[in-house]
Amino acid sequence: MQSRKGIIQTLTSSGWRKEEAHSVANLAADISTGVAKIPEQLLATEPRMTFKVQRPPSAGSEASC
Amino acid sequence: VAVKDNCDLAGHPTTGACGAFRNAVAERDATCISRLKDAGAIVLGKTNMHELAYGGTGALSDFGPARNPWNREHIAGGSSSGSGAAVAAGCVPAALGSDTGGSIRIPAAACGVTGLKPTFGRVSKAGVMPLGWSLDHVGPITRTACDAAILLKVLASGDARDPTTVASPFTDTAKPMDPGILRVAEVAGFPLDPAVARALDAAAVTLADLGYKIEPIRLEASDHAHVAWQAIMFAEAASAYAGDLAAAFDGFTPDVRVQLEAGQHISARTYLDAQRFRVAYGDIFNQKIAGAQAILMPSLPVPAPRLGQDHVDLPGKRVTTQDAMTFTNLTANMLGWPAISVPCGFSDAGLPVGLSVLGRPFDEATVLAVAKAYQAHTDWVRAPSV
Repeated sequence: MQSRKGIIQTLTSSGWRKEEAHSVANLAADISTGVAKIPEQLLATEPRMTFKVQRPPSAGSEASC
Repeated sequence: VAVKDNCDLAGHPTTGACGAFRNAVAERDATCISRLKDAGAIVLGKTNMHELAYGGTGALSDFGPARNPWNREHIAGGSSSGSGAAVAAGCVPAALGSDTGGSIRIPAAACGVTGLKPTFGRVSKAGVMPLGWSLDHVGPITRTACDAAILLKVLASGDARDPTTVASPFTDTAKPMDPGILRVAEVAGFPLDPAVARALDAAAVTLADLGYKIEPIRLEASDHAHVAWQAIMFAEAASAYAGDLAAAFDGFTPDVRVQLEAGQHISARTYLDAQRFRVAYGDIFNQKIAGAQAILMPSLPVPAPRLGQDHVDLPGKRVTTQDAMTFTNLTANMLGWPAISVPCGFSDAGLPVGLSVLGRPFDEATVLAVAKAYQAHTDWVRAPSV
């Protein structure tokens, strides 16, 4: 991942206002840092690449009531 | 009905309240709209929203901010701000909203009406502008849970245009469900405004009087859920709108284009770790709800803030207005589980307070049954004088 400074340089050189470039870099860094702090035990072994909620066997209350 | 302006209505622009899409005329109806039309609904118009649905206030829009019918100096909540305001003001009996981190339930709570985010896959998103594909949902905002059930019955369907949908019709309960266990969630590290806390306590007492057994639980890992939700939404939105941002930079407000660009700098590792957390988060909630019918949560920690208010002060904690709007609501998006917000009181200043009911996937019937039982014994669905 590009560093905060690198993001700012890339964006300002392509016409972004400095203030907005800083906001972009800070947001991206905050999110990346935050996710990196999630403990390993709270990461499932496989990501949910194609998100689809599975209908559990117990969710039959529609018909039963 | 009215429909949020990120839903395609053939022959009309789908702007997402974003200047970049002022002339994006839809060629065909979104599936959610065609299903409503097929059931006899008349679309009266499109509703204002937070730009691209990328915010929880409804204050940022190419059409100007949406205002709260209970007090025009306050936000309507977002992103389905106009849909919440239109139903609350009595312009329409029902409106469509979309929800990536609370965007149906936030305006419903802020405006004193009912908002249902169905299970992920229950309602087609085809023809609705994306924000975060794996977090987006479409659902109704209505005055009551009974009306929400009617709308959901029409909207629920499998759809070849949206491969995430499940071909499973929604059948509402024919008679009241026997009350069971409801778990009242305290979100760790996120205190509530006293008016909200009082209203939620009173709602729990009412539900207990109706025969429900109320049990407190504490929700941890909410900070992790918040940042993982951001990583997923930012990355998916960046992918969805990269071409548009490059082609029409000035068509996006600075706030939205900063978020879109920030998503370009979320690494694949960060995105995938966030999706891995999401699976584990589901396991946590499966344990939290085990043996219970539903989990009760605050829809919002505060009544609707003032327009232009960047931060809100909770007891002992100052948070951004955006975080206050989404913090508890994003859980249902991360899980994909159904959740409904119903009015449960008013603040001293006369602003509505909302109670959320979170249920198991594809068990909207139970979520609606709790909401209907509560609304049958309370009178918090009221009309503002506008």
